[in-house]
Amino acid sequence: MITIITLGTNIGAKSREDGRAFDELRNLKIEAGVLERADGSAYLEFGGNKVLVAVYGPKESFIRRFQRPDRAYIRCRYNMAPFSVDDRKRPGPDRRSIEISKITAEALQPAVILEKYPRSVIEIFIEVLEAEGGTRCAGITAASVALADAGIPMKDMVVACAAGKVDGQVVLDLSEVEDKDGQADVPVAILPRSGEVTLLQSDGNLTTAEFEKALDLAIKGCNQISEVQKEALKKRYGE
Amino acid sequence: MVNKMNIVPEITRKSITHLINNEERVDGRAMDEYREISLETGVISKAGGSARVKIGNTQIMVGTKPQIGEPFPDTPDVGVLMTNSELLPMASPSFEPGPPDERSVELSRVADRCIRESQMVDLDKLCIIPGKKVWMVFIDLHILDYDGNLMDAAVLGAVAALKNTMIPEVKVVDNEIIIDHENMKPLPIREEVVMCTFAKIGEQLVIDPSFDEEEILSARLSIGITASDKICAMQKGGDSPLTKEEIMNAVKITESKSKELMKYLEC
Amino acid sequence: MKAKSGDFVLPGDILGVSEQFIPAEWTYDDEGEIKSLVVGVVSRDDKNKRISVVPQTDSPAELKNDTHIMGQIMEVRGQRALVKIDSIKGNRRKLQVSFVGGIHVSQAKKGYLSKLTDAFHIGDIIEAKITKMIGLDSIDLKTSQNELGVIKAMCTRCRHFMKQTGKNDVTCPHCDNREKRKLSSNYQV
Repeated sequence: MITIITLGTNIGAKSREDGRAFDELRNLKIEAGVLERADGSAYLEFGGNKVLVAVYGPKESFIRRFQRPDRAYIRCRYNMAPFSVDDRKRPGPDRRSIEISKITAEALQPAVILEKYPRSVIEIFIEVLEAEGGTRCAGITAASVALADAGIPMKDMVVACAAGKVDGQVVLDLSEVEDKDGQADVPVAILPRSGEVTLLQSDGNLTTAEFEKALDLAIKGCNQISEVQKEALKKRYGE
Repeated sequence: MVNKMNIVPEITRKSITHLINNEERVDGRAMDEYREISLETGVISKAGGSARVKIGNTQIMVGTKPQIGEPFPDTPDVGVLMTNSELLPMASPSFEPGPPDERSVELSRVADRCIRESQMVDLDKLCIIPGKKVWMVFIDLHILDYDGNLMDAAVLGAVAALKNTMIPEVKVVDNEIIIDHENMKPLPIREEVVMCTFAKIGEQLVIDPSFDEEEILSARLSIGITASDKICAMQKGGDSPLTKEEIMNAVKITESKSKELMKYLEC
Repeated sequence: MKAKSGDFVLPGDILGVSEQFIPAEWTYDDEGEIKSLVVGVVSRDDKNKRISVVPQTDSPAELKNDTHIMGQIMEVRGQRALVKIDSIKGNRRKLQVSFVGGIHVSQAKKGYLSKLTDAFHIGDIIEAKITKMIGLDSIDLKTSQNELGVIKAMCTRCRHFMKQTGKNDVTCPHCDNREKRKLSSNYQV
């Protein structure tokens, strides 16, 4: 019984829906040290995504079974604000956010010197304030900056970016519309200095050649984003 | 073993109380002075309306979502307002992930009462088909950084977000609802409302308590007041009682201070 | 490729090679390359061949010798008082794990103290200084300085905080109980 009239969209246009080149990132802005109470924090805008990350710790772990005698562990909570998506999201974790929390902690872990803080926990809280495709990568990228802002020792700063296939073409950094209409989405996180991959997912159909192209493209995107991470910390702490 | 005790407030209690008894505050404010306030609206484009409010270092993001739903059976021909808040663990080491605890529920209920009882939103105009379909407006308070006085920030942010909220024009033709996203209109707003919160520390009442002040307050009083000076909500908190004189004094200060807060809502 | 003192560096930035320098604070040796672990400024000590980074961010709270800590007395038995260490004085960040330190009777105050119960009781909030740390589980503290000692004394009879009534005396405002303590010059009530 409900009819919806929406604003006209230009789906069906030849180039990418927002006019970007196949290897072009959306606009990116990162700011370090934006919250008062958290030990470290970062705010990131990436296309239409708005993500805020806070880091606490290393601090005492009250969950015994996660405690490690010889090192710290990372606990991550990825959460979407109810108003961050088109239809209001019910507050609280769902299966998707629990999975993203887990792989985010695993993606960041290889960079952090956990051995320095036995028995403790480092907590990372990722809040998606507005979502427009690629929030998990945005969360990881911002979390690295927040970890550095908290003074937590790291070998490198993990950075993440996705590539995928839209309209039969392999492209960098899928927007929300492209993710929905596309054939595949491959989020990747790397340690930029060594090029090692710390997060890899793939959702959709790709040939081996297409996959390799997507991976190369995502790594190229990561390296560009890495420079913006560094700028954010330079701006906050350099002279 | 001794009881688990938060010892930092025990150490700061004397110096803060001593200053306040001499009508001074740690951050140099007067007894009736707010911290710096900033308010931006329309910051989340996917929300129906949104506002980011800061009072000192306290920071809240508020987003609204208008949806079409069924009215409550006892009020079949008015729209519905729903207020929800999340004290995010990012905002303070003392906030835990998980379902809303009592502090979070109190915050959303007080903010909800303040907005509802002020009759700020004309809910009659949000009815689409009496008894069947009405607009439901969800107000979500996302607490990002906690440095005291969440109540005043929550109400200020929620009112700004409601004023910023646009809903599509709807028509009912042959019992079918036609939603026209090309014609958006603001929510029907009558008059604005703000909240002023006081903390009793030592023998004094101070407005807009900071985190350190909240940690040691003995009583708290929040007063909601409309632009036309109608008191529409109150909430007393804290372990100690207040005298009638203290309460009336707070009401008087609220009457004048609310005008200052209202200025942030103009635009 | 050799970093100079004063250079601004980020985690992973190369500072030099391990043939040239010994990696010191906030650096690490990554297969022969010395790299920064934090956002900070390089400090190069050419005489001692050490290279370190001075963090420009806040750093995690770390207990070391001479750190002033705030804590609460958990137990007083025989020659030792056990202290639950709550935080580093003036640092808001939480400690990495729950630390317990001990104050030996000889370290409680200047001069001779016959019984430790004349200095501390359970529940007292104190400020103390770390004198020795072995691992995470053995921490020695002392309070034998004017500004160190009890900041707030808890009445052993009724558990209220007590008022200072003499150089080493406190009185409970609720039950008039009088007790002895090693008080800090910053006593709070």
